[in-house]
Amino acid sequence: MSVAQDTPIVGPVAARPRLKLPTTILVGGAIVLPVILCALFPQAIAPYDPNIFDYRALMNPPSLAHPFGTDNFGRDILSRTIWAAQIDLQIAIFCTLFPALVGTFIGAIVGYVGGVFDAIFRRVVDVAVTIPFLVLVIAIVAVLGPGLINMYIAVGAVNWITYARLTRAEILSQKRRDYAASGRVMGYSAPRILFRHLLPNALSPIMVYWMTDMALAILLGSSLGYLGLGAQPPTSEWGVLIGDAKNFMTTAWWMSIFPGLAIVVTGVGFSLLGDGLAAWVRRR
Amino acid sequence: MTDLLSIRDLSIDFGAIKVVDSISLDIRAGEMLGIVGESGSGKSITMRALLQLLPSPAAPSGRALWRGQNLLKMSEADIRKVRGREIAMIFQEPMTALNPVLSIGLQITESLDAHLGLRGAAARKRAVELLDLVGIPDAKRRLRNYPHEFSGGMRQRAMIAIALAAEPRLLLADEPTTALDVTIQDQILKLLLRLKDELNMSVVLVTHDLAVVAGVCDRIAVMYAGRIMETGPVYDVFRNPAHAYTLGLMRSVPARAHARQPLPSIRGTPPDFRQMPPGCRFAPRCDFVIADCSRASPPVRAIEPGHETFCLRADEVTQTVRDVA
Repeated sequence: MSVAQDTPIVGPVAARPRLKLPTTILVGGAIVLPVILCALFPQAIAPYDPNIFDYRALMNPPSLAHPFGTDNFGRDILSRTIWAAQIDLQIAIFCTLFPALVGTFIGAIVGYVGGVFDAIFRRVVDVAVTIPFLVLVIAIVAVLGPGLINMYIAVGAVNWITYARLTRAEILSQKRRDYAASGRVMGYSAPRILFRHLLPNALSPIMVYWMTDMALAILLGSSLGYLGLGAQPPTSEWGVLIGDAKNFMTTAWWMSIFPGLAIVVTGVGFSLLGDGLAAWVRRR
Repeated sequence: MTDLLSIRDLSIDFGAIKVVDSISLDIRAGEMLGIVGESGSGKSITMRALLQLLPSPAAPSGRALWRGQNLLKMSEADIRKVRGREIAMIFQEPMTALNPVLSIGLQITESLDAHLGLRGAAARKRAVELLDLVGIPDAKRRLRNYPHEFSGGMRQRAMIAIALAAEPRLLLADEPTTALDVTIQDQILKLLLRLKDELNMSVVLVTHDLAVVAGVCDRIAVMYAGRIMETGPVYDVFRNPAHAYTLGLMRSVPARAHARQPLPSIRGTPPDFRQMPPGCRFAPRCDFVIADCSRASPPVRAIEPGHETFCLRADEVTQTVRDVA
């Protein structure tokens, strides 16, 4: 049998098309970026020390000297709102990062191994989803005592379940794909198949959810701050600022409106980032 | 030539249904064996059984001797050392068998890492060599590409490169060219043939395409309804088919000599696995059938050295072939 040298079958490699970023990512980024800058360099951006009392300027309405006005101790609301970005972004990250890592890990294993693990996990989920998230977190904080660290613990104890559910579902569908089977055919070990081959394919919905979850975490952190269960005064935190302002709602609207706007704008920013990321991932 | 793998009385049961019924087959060192049969004849499932990759209700029995060990009875840990390292497998679907989010280079080095413990620069160098070996030009740059940037033929080449990374002794190729168009099909088959010789391995080529077997295989095994009908050297079997089913298959391939004539086909349809005909399973569709065919499974019969058939009417079949010729 004569065997001709097989000829290569490829033409030039097509240039990888430049994918245009969705507008939502750009807008979301444009909103979130200044917030991140405020969080990183508050001392450079804020015009005043956020904790300095100025008894000559108690509850001043917005003016050129104090664009967001001052509070009942004469503290500059703009400066406090800027400093609060630091705490609130910290909340956004710490309330989501550990749950995301732990939940992804557990979900991946549960989805891949299945069987008894999966059955137990599904019962845990069933229990967890019947209790309202905020109520559960408040209950845990009530037991541990208020404060940021305890809030992270409380949120972490509950929030990982969402990531685990997401990852489990994704792994369940990925492990039926052909490439997973070919990993088995290649004699790869289960951890290798799961973490090096399946998980990278499962990550994009988790990343997308993570973005959205950061927005939710800021809302949750502010809610707990407002209720006095999260960050403690005099720490600048948007929820705490609104909490401080609640007694003066009718007389000094600026005390609550501006931190409230900060929450809304940042939340919208992260949501847009999440949506844009989802759209971008889908297109790839 | 020595036997690399000896399959003896391999049966596969799916609950009450026997999809493969005590087949015996030898795979010799350095040969390319073609397994031919129509869909559902048990070709692919036999290959999967060898690596213990059957879906859960399926239970194999019998023996598949590989280096003195029964592949079917190995522990999960032991069979994993065989998979990919000693016996590799490639599939029909190069489109989906590659991981979409990992670069081709990473998927090759992954195999090198898992089986040979090769990492870093050495692994990358070997990956370039492997891509070269399977005929992908500009290999160095191609390592960074993702599967979606490869055409179907190139993906199958990449699959072959991954499968060959650990230098297996045996490659099970399950319809590797079915999803590809004809010119690419030809290139992939020639590639397999060249690699078989260069790497001194054996290849089992599962296909339903007789022409493919005629072109590249040393020996052929014809399967029908979970049984082997006829085995032998490709030349002998094609020149001198000794099973009514083989003859039927060969006649149903379009030939230029019979242009513009109705294409002969085998009448009827493959039997239902739940109600297998007694005796020869091809009997209900056979033109040569006699009463004895349905009494008991026909015994094996040697036609020439290495050429065996399970047909009671082998003489009549070969006579017909001679008459036509």
